[in-house]
Amino acid sequence: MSKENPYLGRKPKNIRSKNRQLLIDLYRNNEFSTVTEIAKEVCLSRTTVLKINQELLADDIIVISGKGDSTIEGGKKPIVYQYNASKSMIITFYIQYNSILFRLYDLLFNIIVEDSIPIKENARFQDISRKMQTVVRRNITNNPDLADRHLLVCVVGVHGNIDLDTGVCLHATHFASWGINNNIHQKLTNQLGLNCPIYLDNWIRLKTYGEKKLGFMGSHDSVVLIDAGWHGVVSGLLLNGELYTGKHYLSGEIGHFRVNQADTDPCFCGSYGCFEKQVQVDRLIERAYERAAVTSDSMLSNKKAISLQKLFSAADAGDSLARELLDDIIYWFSLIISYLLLFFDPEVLIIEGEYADGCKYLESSIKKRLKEITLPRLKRDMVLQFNSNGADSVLKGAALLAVDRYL
Amino acid sequence: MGIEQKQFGRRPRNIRSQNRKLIIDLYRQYDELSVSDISNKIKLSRTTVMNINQELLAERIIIASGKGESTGEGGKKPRIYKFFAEKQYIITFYIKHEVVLFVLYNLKYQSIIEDSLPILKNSRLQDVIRKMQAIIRRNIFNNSDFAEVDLLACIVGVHGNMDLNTGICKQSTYFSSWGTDNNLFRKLTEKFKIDCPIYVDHWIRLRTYGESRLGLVGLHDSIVLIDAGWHGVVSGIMLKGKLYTGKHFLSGEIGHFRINPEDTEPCLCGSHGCFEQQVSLERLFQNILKNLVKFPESILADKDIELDLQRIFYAADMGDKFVQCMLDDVIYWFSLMISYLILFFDPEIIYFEGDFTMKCKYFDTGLKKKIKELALPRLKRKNVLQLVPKGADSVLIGAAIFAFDRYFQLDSGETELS
Repeated sequence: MSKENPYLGRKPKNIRSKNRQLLIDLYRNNEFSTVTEIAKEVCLSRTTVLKINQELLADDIIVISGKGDSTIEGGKKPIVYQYNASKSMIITFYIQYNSILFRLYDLLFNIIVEDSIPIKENARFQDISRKMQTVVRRNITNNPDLADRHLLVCVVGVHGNIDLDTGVCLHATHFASWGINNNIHQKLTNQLGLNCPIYLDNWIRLKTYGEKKLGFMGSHDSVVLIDAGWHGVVSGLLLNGELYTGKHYLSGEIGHFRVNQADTDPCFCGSYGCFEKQVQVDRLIERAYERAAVTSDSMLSNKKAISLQKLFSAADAGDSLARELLDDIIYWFSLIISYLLLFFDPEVLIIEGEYADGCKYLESSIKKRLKEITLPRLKRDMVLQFNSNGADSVLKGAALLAVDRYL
Repeated sequence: MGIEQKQFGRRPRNIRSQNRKLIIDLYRQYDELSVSDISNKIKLSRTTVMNINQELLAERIIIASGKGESTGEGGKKPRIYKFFAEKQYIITFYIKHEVVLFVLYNLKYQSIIEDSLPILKNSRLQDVIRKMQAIIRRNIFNNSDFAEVDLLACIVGVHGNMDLNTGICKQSTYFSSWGTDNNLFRKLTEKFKIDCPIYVDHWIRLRTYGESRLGLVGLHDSIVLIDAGWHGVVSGIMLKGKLYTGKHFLSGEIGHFRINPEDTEPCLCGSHGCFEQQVSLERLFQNILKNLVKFPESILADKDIELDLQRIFYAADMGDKFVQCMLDDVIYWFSLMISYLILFFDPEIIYFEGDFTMKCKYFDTGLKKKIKELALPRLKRKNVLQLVPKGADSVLIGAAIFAFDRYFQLDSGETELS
């Protein structure tokens, strides 16, 4: 995280780089642009735009795509420029608990190649990096179609707390075999042998960034995105439209709030009573089997296989057992969300993952309970939303972040 | 994917206003400065500093105060300038639960007049405002030394959630008689009839702002300041030198986390099991008094001793097992709450102020140890908690600094009071 020294005077030298970034953004978002159009759009002089354009042409970031139309008064036809999307590629990886997802994007975020490879649960990092190398080899190195393409950056989303300055994984709750303070950046650099920088980040930040950029968060700029699923529960934070990582890159670890002192079942993190243990899907399903076996009048009673989706359907159909089972989940979610509202007071709080799969009973009960326990006398708008976005937005988020950071 | 908001290119014109703010800040910090002093300190050219100085002289924000010493090589003596601290004054109020505190500051934050008036618990807003009017009358309007002074701003710190865009107090847990959505700003403006802008904000934000500008917090850029005391528990958040108010001006309300669902005693907020109830001094004293008879060996069992927190801390540090056991409960709740803040927000530092920050080794070490156990225990992380004893004074000085910065637009705050 770079810091501007607040005690020194400001000089105009960094204005140019800001304007360059703005122009790149414009080219990315518009298919074709002339200097006049850009000057109008960003309220800069034509001379300034022309100068930056020269730089971008020299760096191959834009190319000339032809000439536009003259104005009604006639005159010289303007040169039309276009973003050079095919120039470079972005490698994205997402290391999930049982597989590695891979996508190769061009600079307009079109998918060039997609692949995945299974891994064992709690796989050692050296085994994971070998698998990643295999994926790179079969999709890029040995692919003649991509021989002349340039790699801009490789971004890897991991389920762990990454020190963004050093690339050290401080802690990965779902890969205990990685230990603590594991320099996975260095290991990946050695193993993959790529001719481009490698950037690592927590997957939830990539997802949060992606969803903001893709417009899923609308114009909101202070957002908490909670994802609950196989991995546990974690959250990404947007503050003034920017990712908030925390001072030690450890922000958003709400899954490890110790909320249930009575729970003695240990959590991956080394503690117990953690929030994510209380809403763990496996645990819920296990409880559902136990209760269904001794309840005769439930829709779950005759089910051979109980899934979260079946539980949701039963609850929405008014089944008392399903509702009772979900009430526990509702209780824990609303408690944690009330903490986040009271402390952070975001514009919007979004829940994604397996619990955001369209259960009306769950959603309306969480909202109702939240009102009861969060400064109940206060009139406030409901800021909670449920979305069902998956791993796709992690990889796309990784590509978006890569371009924003490296271009 | 499209750009959601129109973005504009940067031009050098707002650099000047940034540099002007920086120079005003320097004049406030130092007694006297020459152009070269400023130029050296903030690494700007002498010409730039001189141009801004001309503006500040014309606006009487600074005044020439004489000539300085020549350099070792001789040469012309430099002109010395100083901040014109008496140009204007800032009225600050802090409405506590049973008293209204008042301080009149000059522009260098020197306290010129101090006063206070008692109020009843849960006083009606109109009664509180009348007392504030009385204070203004007797200290300013009816004070021949100050009747004609120019007022820069009046700022009021309250125990309530303020909408900074409208000046409406959404809720004040300690003054339930104020109701919800009470337009405090309009009522103060109508009654005070003073010729300066009035700002109203949550007292913890004024305090946090003050701490950040007075240097305690200034070196850090992501801070949570927790204050626990008679009022309950609340926190202020600073991010990159800016106060974080939350989207609905409700951030930092950690006192009302429902942390102990088994506690059925109602909280002032309308809920129960709130964090601030678990660590309330009143409850701690009650628990000690209730159980003391069973522990005659305790230091506190001496009938001549009047129970206060200082004595409780002393007894804990002296190894009094009963008192330590009573404090363990409070330590547990505090460490649980702080672990939540660390896990969610991961701040650079958490300042813990208020009644519990009197020196008590048992409390201090117990808290830090427990936090380590609770917040991702396998992870090696630095202790971010600091216990700092501070009083109401820092709310008022924070208010004065906030008013000054807002008036001169030095605060880069998120919101502007309309």
